[in-house]
Amino acid sequence: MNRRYPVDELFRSRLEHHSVEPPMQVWQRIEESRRRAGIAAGPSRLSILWIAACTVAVLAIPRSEWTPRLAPVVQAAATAPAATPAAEIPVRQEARMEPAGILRDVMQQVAPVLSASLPARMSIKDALEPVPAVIDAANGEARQEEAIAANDAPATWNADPLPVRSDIGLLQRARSFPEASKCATFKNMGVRFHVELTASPDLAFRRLAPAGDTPEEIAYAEKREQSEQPLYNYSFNARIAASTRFGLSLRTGVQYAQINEQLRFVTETEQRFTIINIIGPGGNVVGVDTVYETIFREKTIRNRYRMLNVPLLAGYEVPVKRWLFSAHGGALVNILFRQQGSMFQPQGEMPVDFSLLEQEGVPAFEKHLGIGWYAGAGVAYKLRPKLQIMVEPHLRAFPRSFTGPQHPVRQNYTQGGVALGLRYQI
Amino acid sequence: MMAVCLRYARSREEAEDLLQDAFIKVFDGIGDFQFKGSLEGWIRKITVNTALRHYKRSSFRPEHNGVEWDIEMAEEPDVYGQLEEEDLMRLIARLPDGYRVVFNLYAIEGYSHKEIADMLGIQESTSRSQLVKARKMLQIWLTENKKIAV
Repeated sequence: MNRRYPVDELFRSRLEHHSVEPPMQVWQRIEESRRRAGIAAGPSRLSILWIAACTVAVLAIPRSEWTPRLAPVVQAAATAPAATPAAEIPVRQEARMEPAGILRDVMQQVAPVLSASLPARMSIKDALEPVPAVIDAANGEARQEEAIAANDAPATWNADPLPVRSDIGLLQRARSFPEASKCATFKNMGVRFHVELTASPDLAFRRLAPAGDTPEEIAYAEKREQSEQPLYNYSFNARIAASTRFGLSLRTGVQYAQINEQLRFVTETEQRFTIINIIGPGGNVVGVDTVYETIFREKTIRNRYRMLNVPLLAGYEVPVKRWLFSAHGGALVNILFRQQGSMFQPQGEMPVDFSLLEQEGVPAFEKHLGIGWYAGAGVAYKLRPKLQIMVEPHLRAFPRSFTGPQHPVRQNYTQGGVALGLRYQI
Repeated sequence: MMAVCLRYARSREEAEDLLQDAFIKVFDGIGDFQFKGSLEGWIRKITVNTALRHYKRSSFRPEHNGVEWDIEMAEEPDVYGQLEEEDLMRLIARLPDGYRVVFNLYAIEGYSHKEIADMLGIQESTSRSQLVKARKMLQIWLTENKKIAV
């Protein structure tokens, strides 16, 4: 007895196993609801197979599993008069007919599947027969429950029909499984879905390599290397993550990434000369000197490479209290690649806008980057029951060059960063 | 199942709706039952989850009852021995929705405050607070019943 909270104990002890008979119209409503939903046609083929598998599993349990619980009932049944078919005796079956009908539908759906797996001496027809009632020797009243139990008796296993003769019998049999403190788990309840929103400052490691071995190509690669400097980069992710209870996870969504660089070049030079008079000790001009100065006018253009990718990631997650550690990797499918800015041309002295190159039919860049790879390791901390803050260091790269096959330089990036964001269970 | 539904519902009609939903889910999900625990527990879990989903979906209104919390908790349980189960069910049904759900989950189903917080999307402290208030409210009503009985 819980002395500290007698109210809890009072309600728990009195109501934990309290049962209430539902009104008849509830069963009728359930049947109507099933018919409206099209369930009345029967469960799906997959469901039937599952039910069949579960039922066969029940039947496959050794007889000894049933014997201890049923032994006293067997004796009672043995001393009772001969069983009489249910149809001949007005037992209290009206109130139970509707629920029995629902589960009976399931059994009828299962029947064809079960036929192949049942022992030869049992028939589905027998299994679906109504439960015969038993006449009580003392007062002649029919007792449905004892009849069910009598049918479960192991003594009748070989000679009588299948022990599971009705849905009520099935429920009673399943009830004899060892009681667990927690109820059974669903196989499809282990999947949890999260929405992940992250933003990340990124570092982009650029590789500019000449497409060939010619001196022109090598010189051009060096020229671009010197003229283009990296700036800040960033990416945003909006993903949906599905995590199973086994720790496996799948992620997909949208990723936007932008690489920024600057192109610095001299637009023009200016020569300035200054004439200086040289004054002598007497204050007279004794000579003239001319000073020449060259001034470079430099211009900076910002180059932007924008990518829209779809990540297809698989990974593994390990929850530890309020923390969640994960590692995942997979493919990045590029669906959009746009560039803005300018670059030097191999033959020109001045940079040319990317769009101009495209208009002239000699685009420098690819339209799409194809498939790249992504790898990340995340740590999430549960702030609220469904909300987690997450940090995810990551690397990503596209093997395909940003530049087209006709361009003399191959341009690749490997990007890395630390994404920070939120993860919300849906 | 009906008794569980009655404990979580405001009225018998609502309990019947819950029972209908729960039973259809049981029927649909019977193929998912893995025989790793008791069938009774599995069905009970579905019923409770159905009631919780209904509770969340209906976004219950705040309910004010005006009860003063000055009752001692050390009441002997024996004095309630004469109460019928239906009386207790009626008392539970009188509780405000939040109190009723938390009290059912904690006191009768046996969930911890952490589990309740996860299920309902609330803080653990909220669960504890609602349980205490539910207990006190029930205590008041039980005491009133006792006086009437005397």
